[in-house]
Amino acid sequence: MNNPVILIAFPLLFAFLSAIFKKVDKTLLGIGLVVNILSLFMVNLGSYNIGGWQAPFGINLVLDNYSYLGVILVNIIIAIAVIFSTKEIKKMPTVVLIIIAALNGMLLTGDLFNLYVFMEIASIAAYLLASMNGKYKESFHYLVAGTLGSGLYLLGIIILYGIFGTLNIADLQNKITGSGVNEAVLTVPLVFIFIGLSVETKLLPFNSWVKGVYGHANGFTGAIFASAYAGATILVFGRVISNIFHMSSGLQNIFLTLAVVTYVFGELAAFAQKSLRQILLFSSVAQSGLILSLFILHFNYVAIILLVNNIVSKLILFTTAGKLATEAGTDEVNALAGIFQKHKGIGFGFSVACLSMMGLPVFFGFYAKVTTLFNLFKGNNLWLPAIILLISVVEGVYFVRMLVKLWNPGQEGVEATIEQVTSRTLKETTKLGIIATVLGLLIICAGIFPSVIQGNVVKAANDLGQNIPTYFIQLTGGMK
Amino acid sequence: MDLGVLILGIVLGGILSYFVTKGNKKVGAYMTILVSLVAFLILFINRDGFSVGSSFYFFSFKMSSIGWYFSMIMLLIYVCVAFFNPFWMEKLLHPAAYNFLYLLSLAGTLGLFFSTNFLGVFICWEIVVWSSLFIIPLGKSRKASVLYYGISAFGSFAMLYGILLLYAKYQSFDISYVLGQVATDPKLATLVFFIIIMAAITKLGIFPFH
Repeated sequence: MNNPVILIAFPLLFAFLSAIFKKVDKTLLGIGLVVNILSLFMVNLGSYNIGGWQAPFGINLVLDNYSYLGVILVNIIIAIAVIFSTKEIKKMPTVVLIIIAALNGMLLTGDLFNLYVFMEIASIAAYLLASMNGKYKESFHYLVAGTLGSGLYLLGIIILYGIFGTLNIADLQNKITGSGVNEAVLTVPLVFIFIGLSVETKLLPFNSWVKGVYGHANGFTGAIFASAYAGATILVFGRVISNIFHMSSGLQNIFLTLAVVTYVFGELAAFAQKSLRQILLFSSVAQSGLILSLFILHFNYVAIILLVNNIVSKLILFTTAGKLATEAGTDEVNALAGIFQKHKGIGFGFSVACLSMMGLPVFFGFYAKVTTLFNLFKGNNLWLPAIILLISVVEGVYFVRMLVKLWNPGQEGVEATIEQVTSRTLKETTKLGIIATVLGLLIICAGIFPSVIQGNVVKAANDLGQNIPTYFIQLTGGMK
Repeated sequence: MDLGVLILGIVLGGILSYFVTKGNKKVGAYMTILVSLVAFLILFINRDGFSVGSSFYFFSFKMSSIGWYFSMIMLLIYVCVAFFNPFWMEKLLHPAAYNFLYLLSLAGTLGLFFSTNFLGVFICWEIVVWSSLFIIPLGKSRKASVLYYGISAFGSFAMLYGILLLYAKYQSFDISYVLGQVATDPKLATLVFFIIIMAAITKLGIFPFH
């Protein structure tokens, strides 16, 4: 029971059961989530061969500190999202269980083709989830973009297989570093793989699908896409970039430019929006760009720290924004003026998440931002901190503009009074209010005492940066 | 006595005043007067009784003549303004939040004057900014809050860039050590001076940041 395959097998089992026993599918989802969370405490670090064939001939699952951090984050995020939005799940428990299995598989796999398989499963589940909002044209757009991206990813790994004869990540890394192969030979497959992953990680110019899917998300799908999917895909990107990519400086600069441009234009686009989901989706795009630029520059520790801050904050933000859109009838900021006067717990959590995203003390986002800048300066990088700080002003302005309006009703030049608070309201807010308040307090505690998270992220970043074959995987091949 | 304890006490006083205001607005407002007055009296009477230096995590505080002088001016202003708080309680939409943010901004201001390291200065500076930013729209203007934050953030982040530039060179955030070292590098000193002074210019509303 300490084999991490249970993190994939149990959700799949419950997914099949929920498809058969439709009347109790939500109960099975709940049990599946609990079993999965408990399994997280039972698994042991290590490499596990699947199917009796030893790596690199067979597929293996790699549970190191990096993938362990990933599965913990993803599973807890999904569990909280389900608790937040039990009513919104409707006919989707089976899909949610498949999503859990697929995202866990993506994080755990030690094989690039197996990664492709899990990515496809996750993508198909994502298309179904996106269609939950009734916006089929946008879901189809996502399907087309995702399929093209995964097709290019597949082409990239086919070329790598043709060159090196293996798709096992550890074996491939061994062969890439030891073979002395010309970097130019690797350019084409790496570009294809990069494009394939960029579609899911929302990099420009492959993120045209994001506006349609995130922009019409409800409280549940928004949280799943912006937190769980974003976290898993970015962590996978980090793994591939750190362990497989051997880029020439020219290629690295191109990838870095795309990531930084995504960050800059994402924040500028968010500044121009008037509705909550539109603001948050462009903020998510921007944060993806920033985190990926740090992975490309091999600042793994700060990339992971920023990712943790982003996905926890976006969980609260998207859940609230999605619920406002569906229950209050709109997510236009002006139409919701003063709504937090009626829902103070939700407002507290939402505000803390915004202030953490802005990187203000005493929130965890401040620790994430300062550590990022500090590490960049230590690495003699002076231009990226300047861009981050300049664009942070833009980010801060749109978050402040949003918060001021949501807390203070009325027109400009008129004192805010209780009579001016919007008539729109959320229903059944106790659960959301309590969880948002607790998460807000956790963000504040993590900001004041970051060492709680720091140790685990350091271990994860170290494992990511290691030469995998000298870690615990014995690449012997053959049967056990 | 410890400066860090005094500042923490003001923050805790702010949290307490939030909950007290929820029960009774006037009593909560009187708490802000009491806390700011007590802080003023402690600093005035016990000036030389503070321990040489104290630290709490990344905060590090030390009594100094100039810090004491500026904190006396600020505390006097906060005490005087606090006398109007009971009047404002009935008019405000978020009286509890106002009282908490009022005392939080006071704590941040004192931290700013006594901090011995640049990072502590920046953190206290930002605490003052975001606590003020939520107080401003409790008046009549929401746009003022957004403009205030935008311009303040431009200055604060410029200051942060300067602080990190200094850290990259001298491996320390300690103000006296870094200023001693940077004096030997006039070019860096000039560059960092102009970057850091942006924070003051934006906060003071000097043209063109008015």
